[in-house]
Amino acid sequence: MNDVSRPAIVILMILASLVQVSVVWHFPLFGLVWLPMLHVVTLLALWYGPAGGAGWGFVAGLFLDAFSDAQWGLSALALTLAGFVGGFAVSIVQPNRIIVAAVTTLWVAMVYFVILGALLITFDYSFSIGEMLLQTALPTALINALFAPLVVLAGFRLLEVTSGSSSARRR
Amino acid sequence: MRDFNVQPQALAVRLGLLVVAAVLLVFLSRQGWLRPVEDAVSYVAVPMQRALDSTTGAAAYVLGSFQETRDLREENEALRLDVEKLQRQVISLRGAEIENRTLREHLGYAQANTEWNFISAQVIGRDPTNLLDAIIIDVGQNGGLKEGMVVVTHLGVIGKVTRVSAQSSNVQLITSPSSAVNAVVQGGVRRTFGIVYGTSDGRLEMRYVLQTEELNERDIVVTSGIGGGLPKDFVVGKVLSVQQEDYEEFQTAEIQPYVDFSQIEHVMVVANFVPLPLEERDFSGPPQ
Repeated sequence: MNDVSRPAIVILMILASLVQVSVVWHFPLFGLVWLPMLHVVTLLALWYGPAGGAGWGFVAGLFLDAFSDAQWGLSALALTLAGFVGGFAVSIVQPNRIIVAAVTTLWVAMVYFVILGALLITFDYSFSIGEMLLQTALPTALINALFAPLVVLAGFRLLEVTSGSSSARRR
Repeated sequence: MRDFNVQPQALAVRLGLLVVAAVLLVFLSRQGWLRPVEDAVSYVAVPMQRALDSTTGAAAYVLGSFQETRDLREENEALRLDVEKLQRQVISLRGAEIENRTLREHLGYAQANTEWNFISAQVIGRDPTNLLDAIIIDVGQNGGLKEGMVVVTHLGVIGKVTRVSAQSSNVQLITSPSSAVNAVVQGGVRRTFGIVYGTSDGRLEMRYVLQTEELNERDIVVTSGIGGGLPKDFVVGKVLSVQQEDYEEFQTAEIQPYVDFSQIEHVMVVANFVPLPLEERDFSGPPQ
């Protein structure tokens, strides 16, 4: 089974970071934004499983921290854990299904927001975690889950083609 | 390598190592020990972000313009060809026009407020988490910015610089749930003091206004300067509505900012206002 090129993944992550920080806010949808890096992490979690999901989640978060001028390590920690839990979907179901892509994205997004919210509160950002979850995290996670079949599933198929492997063979 | 048969123990060790690495990063970053690395990254990232942001800003404008053209076509089919021809010219000129207008307004504002020195900056990004209500601007330590500096537009105060790297800075908007601005209402005979907070859904609320004070819709709210965190008399917004309950000790007002926070492209940083350190601030409240 061929592996996916790591430099290609790193380039994809740099592009996703730039798009997430400097592009998507120009095109809000009902005041919410598409978070491409969440889709990248979900895709890699579904492709590599929990261990790879955590590893690539860490790298993705690092890029996001670096490009957003934020506290380094916050997104890295949140996406490490989000990628880890996202990867568990692979051990339960066939990863190349529309519903799996959507549900895993929703799950990864919620874990990401909960951990990030908890970290921010730890570092003296004062906001209500309940309000944050209902007014920002859940709607953003839902919007991103809607995009998931297009982005994650398409990415998954692309990985299958480029690496010469298939889910059926793997399972 | 795709490996779905990792032993639980090995998996836990891997995850543990990554978590420890991330926590270590947070610690080092908070201590400022990563500043050289952060600065080096900003030298590479900021030009890319600036270029990407300008391009997408123009693209967003063009998309909006196409929508306008469609509406015009429905209204007056006979003028369709003329409108399209003009629209193409408008699209290429409007981006520059909007930028020029904003910069002219900023210049006029700076000339009318000579006691303050302003540093002009372009917005090159937004908080990617969607939680913090923060923007990224293209001026940093090299441009003279420091943490705590106040950021405004000609329509009023928009936030404070919270993190500075060599080439860029992070600005927490006043609409952030973490933001609190000491403010005063310029309405009635007495000056009415309160604190303007951001909310989770991006609104502004003025709280801790005594029941005995007069608050009216459309009253102008400005910074009070109390506490030393912000200079006084910068516009925050106007009173949109007042919530007054007899059994409450304080009344609350919803404040509508004049600034459209979703459309900020250029800002000005007040360079010669130095906020007092937290330990030296006076939190004893407004003068009676």
